[in-house]
Amino acid sequence: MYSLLYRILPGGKVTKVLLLIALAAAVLALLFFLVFPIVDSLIPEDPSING
Amino acid sequence: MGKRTAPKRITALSVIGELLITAGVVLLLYVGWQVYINDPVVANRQQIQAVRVQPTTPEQKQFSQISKNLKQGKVFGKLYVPRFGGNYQRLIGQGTIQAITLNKIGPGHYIGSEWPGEVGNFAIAAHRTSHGAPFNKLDTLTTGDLVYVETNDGWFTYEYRRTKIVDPSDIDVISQVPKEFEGAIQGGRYMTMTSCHPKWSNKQRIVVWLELKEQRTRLQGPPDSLASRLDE
Repeated sequence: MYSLLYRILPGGKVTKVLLLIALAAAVLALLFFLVFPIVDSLIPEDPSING
Repeated sequence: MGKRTAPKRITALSVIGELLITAGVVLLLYVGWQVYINDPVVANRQQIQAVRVQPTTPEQKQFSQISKNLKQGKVFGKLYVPRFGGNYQRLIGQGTIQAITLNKIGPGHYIGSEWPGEVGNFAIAAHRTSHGAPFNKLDTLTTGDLVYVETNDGWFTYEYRRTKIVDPSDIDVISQVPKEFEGAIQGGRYMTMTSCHPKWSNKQRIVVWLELKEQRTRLQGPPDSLASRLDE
């Protein structure tokens, strides 16, 4: 899967690695600012917890 | 450079394996986000909201009139704890439901416990860790520390009395005269702050009791010890 991604990316080794870093950063941003806040609000209530 | 090896075949198994590894990494990222990113972000937001919002309603209604019908999550007051850091301020919401009050507003008032200044026990809870962790430093409160509560009616200054670690089932700690609170008497005006203990655990509860020291109306203005801090 990831090897396929690496092969699809254009350019030489340096370009590929830079593109991978950019992709990873984009995925991280998506998780941190969109996905995780939504997940946090969906986690069910545990009445015994107020940690 | 060595000779190029033929690209490996992508098998179903390798895809599943990589997906599982990815899932594991994402789960760890979620934990890291809760601890290192979301926590300070929420704490900062809660502080800014508290500084901006005045608990006073425009109509300046007496608090006793509105307190009976307060909905879950309704902000009715402000909490000032100098020990938690120079200008620490948090809004206090009604109720202790996480999704409505504790995860969003910050400290929440135990429904059924008294209101600020009343005879009995004004009890609030907040997260020790995560979601802004308003009571992260609850264990640092010590003799001589003052905690201020502001409502429509004015300011209530509570003075630190005692800290105790109890089991989560020990709900007597927020009763009018808690048994574990040595020195508490019928007719006293107390305040209780509860949170989880130890940090990152739900195993026990840390409980801090305070006693009303001073009460000031809106007209009288905030107590000097608080006003001097707010000016800083």
